[in-house]
Amino acid sequence: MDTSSPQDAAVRAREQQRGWYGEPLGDLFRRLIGDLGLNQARLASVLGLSAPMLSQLMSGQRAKIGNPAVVQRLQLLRELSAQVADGAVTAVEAAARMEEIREAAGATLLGSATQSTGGRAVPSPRRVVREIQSLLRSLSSADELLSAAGALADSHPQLAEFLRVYGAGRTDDAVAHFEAHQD
Amino acid sequence: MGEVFAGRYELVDPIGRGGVGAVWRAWDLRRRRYVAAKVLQQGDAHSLLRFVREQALRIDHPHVLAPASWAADDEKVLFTMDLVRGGSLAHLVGDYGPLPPRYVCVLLDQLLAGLTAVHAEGVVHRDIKPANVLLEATGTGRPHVRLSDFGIAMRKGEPRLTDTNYVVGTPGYFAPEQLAGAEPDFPADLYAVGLVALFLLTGRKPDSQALVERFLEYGVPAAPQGVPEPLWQVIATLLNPNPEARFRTPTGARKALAAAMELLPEPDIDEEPIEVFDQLGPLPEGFGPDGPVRLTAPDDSAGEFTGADGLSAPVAWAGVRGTPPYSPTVPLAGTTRRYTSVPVADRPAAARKVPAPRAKVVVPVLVVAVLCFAVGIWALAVA
Repeated sequence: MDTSSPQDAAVRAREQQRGWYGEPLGDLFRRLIGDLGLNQARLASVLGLSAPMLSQLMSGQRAKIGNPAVVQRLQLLRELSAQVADGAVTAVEAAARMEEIREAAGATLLGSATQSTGGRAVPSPRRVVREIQSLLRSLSSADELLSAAGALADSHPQLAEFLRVYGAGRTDDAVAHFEAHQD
Repeated sequence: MGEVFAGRYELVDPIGRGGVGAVWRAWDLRRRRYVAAKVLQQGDAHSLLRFVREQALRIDHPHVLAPASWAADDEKVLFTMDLVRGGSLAHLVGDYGPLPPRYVCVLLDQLLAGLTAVHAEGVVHRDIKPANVLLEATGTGRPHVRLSDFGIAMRKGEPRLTDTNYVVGTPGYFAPEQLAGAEPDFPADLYAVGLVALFLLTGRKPDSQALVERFLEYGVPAAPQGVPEPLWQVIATLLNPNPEARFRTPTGARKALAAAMELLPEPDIDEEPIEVFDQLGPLPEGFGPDGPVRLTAPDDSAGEFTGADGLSAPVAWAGVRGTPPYSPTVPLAGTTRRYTSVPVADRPAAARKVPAPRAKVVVPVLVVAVLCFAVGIWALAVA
């Protein structure tokens, strides 16, 4: 009979996790949740784990992440969280990036059914913005768009801004513009 | 408290989304148990309703999760099924990645057994994919598969009513002949089982198109990484682009699978055990294992609502009440007030001892209510 208590087993699992993942998953997941502004359910969904599995890994009831695709996504999230922490990536960009991570490495193979948190596959704002940008730039050059924006500036300031931001501005500004004008 | 649908099903919390419509955990007031309820707009419900009518009573198999009953109101239809708590094969692979071959054999055998029952009724499922293969929450015990979501299932040879029947389904889990627009037929389901098998063994969505191309160019491809050779022989026969060259029946595939399983190596002792978790969260506040918890006193309207079951048909109940859905704890103006004017003494006892009082109880109550109402109106008129 195994006489070790569940507490001992959890301590052992956390030690193993430290070896495999650099730190116990409870600590790691809590940090990601804090840095990226998530909750447990959302973190589980981005990683492609079920909520009960996430909770078992956090508490040390289970030591190892079985799905290599999840380990990959975890690595991507850690990098993202570091970038957010040192200010290289804004919260808005991080949200879009998390969508990409969720879809990466086969999350889409889960399909949408029976996933209450997943919802429909709505393209990320960044992707929508890139589509708009590429469409505009396929029509004319950035310089032309800027001069068109100048011509419209007095009569139609908002349209002028649209052309300037999506046609010649930075992608981040365009994403911010897009999100400010959603719904 | 949740909305009550058609006087019978109290919606508890959303537990997922199907191809069309949301799936709720619901309390069946009449059978006094929790069920899964899929709520559909009347328009979307058409094909599923037809399916329920024609098949549900006959496909009764431990590995099939077919709709059990339905109810309707003005705009929506609700289908109920057993509440299956362990998530789907998609969840399982999400949590564990590629699954051990022997474990996969057990899952496939059960899936094929369920499919045998479906095909025996002349029904082609047409949408077999990991997310539609559900699991009972069996923990570390033997898994228990339930083939679900008959939303686009069709009886073989039945005319397709609309063009949309051509495009529904899940790209990626389609058989090549299905993509080419062939009439729905059983071998297409077997192809989909082959893809599900690959998904379980590799942990990734298989590239059906690439497989078909390789088959057509070079014949049976070599076993993909992580797929043991004996098992691949079976799966490759399911995945043959030519429907004629697949197994004829799910039973044929099961036999080959059992033979292949004999040849698989013993499982690794160090393997972490696979646990099929209970994926449903705890019941929300206000609900217990025995249904909604009515905190209010005996003259709470709940008594009458269970009593309503005595009228048996939801339609009849809807006729009495006016327009469902409504919330049982928010007293409807008028009716409930009339009820509360009934002498309180004998009602709670009746409601508690007899979960579903018969018309014998309900009719006098209604009569008294109508009398009280009349007296009220008379009093108003006099004043």
